[in-house]
Amino acid sequence: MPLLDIRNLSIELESPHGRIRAVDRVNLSLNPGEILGLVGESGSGKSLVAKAIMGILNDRWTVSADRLRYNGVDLLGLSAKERRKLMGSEIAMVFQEPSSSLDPNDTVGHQFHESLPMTECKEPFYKRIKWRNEQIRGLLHKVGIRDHERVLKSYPHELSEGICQKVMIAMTIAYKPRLLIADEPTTVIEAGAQAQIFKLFKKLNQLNNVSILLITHDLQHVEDWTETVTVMYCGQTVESGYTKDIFKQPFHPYTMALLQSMPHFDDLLTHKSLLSTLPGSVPSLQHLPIGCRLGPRCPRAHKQCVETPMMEKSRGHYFSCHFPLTESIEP
Amino acid sequence: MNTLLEVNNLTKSFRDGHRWLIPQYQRALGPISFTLKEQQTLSVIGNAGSGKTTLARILVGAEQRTSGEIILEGEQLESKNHIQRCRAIRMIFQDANTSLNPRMRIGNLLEEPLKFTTDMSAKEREQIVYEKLRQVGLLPEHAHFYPHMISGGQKQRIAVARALMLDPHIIVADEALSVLDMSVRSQIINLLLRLQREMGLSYIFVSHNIHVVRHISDKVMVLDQGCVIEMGDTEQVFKHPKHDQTRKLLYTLGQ
Repeated sequence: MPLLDIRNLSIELESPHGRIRAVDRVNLSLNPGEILGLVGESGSGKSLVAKAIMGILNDRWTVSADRLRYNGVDLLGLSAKERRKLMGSEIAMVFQEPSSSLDPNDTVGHQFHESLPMTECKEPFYKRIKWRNEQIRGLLHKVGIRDHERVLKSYPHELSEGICQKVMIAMTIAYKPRLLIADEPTTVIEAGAQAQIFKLFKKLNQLNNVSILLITHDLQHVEDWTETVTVMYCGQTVESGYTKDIFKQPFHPYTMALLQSMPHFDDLLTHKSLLSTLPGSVPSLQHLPIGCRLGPRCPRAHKQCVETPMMEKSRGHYFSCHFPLTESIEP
Repeated sequence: MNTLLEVNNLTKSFRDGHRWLIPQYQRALGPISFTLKEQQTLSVIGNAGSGKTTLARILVGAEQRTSGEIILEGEQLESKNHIQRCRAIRMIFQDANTSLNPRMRIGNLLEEPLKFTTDMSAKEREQIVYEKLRQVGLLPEHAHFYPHMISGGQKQRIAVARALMLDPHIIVADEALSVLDMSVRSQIINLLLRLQREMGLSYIFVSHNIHVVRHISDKVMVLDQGCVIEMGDTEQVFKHPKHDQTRKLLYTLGQ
């Protein structure tokens, strides 16, 4: 049974121009112990999906879904209190900019003390401070911070983004979550430290069997670190399946365009030649096209594309396109 | 091809407190020497804190060098002569969302450099603004828009147009592509390549995306702690890195 099972999740916003459907019938399923990549450009609603799972969208957004289940429990049916309890103990989220999600007025150590699960402490009250310090030290070592004393005494602005992100991850794993949602964990981090963060995720995934939903806009990371991937465009699921299959043979023109837009070493690409791109840019939420939202930019668009295509399946590989790129498949 | 830019023994030191009332300095960059030919792209790669951004800022004149000389087409570029500098070397900033003034229309934004450094009439300035907007693939009507009314990719195009305003010889791009989305990024790369071919521009490109660097640059310079540890033709450096640090860097960035 999948750990996280989302079917036809729609997220809507009331606006002066009428109802805007920012996320349109998205499907996701995440098995226990799996790393799932969610890729899309900015404005494609990846973060909205993550926030809807966590239940931290503000009241202006309406969330509706045929199924939004975590471990068999319907998240939309829970009361706010029950949901908060589940969020605290089982699902954790790592946010985009670590230095801005930590409190700038407080030392890292103090913030860490606040985030520890004191219900797990079985010690009498006079041993508790020692227990906490040991826990914190253990967690920081686990995420690869060696000089824990300096880090705990400093304020967030004194540390580099990479270290801040590691501290955030250490805080989130203090509760031993089963699902970790990482929302663009490495966009602000310098390239050298990015690999460290991903290795850390991989380690958590393998040792503690944590399932990870990795939200990113960089296909390179997805190719290197995930097993399955879902591609989103403008709030619609475009394609999903095993990472290897999709990178080998994408069915959807959008995925194809994304893959072609990153210059690769192995490709026979002439030096300084023009790259192939999709024309235009992502439409704004007020001016979403009807039907398949890629329509106006798609090189293979036909008349039929004004109707939203249904999800089709072929060997564990889902895609939604009327005219998939199937002819180039080798038999 | 002629040599366009020549940099000799460029250094930069930052003041780092006092000891016995004597100011102490810390060397952040250099000494660095390199040359750039016409229509060439030089990429600067390196770890965080290796002085890439400092070098870019010194070249465009946003920061003053401590010693060394910069020679452009046989002419010395002086540290404090901003008018001379900004006509020849322009910069594209990292994040177009924050580097465009949200209170100015795009037309006014683009004509600012003309106002400051030339004595053209308003009519002439307008003509040039329209021309540059067309060059980067936008419409003249965009001059009346505010930056928040257009998309991220278009904003980056505006940033490129602003760099082109004074017909510079060299454009310095400091991580100009890293915040862009994938499909927009390749559009901007195409735009830069096209402009290079049409206008004969040279680029100095600071980036840590080695796939992009490998694709667009002719020469690569690897910096580590302010010093050049390796420099050469792109394929040479990528295929046969000589220095251990380069090999390590290519490995970590390549993942």
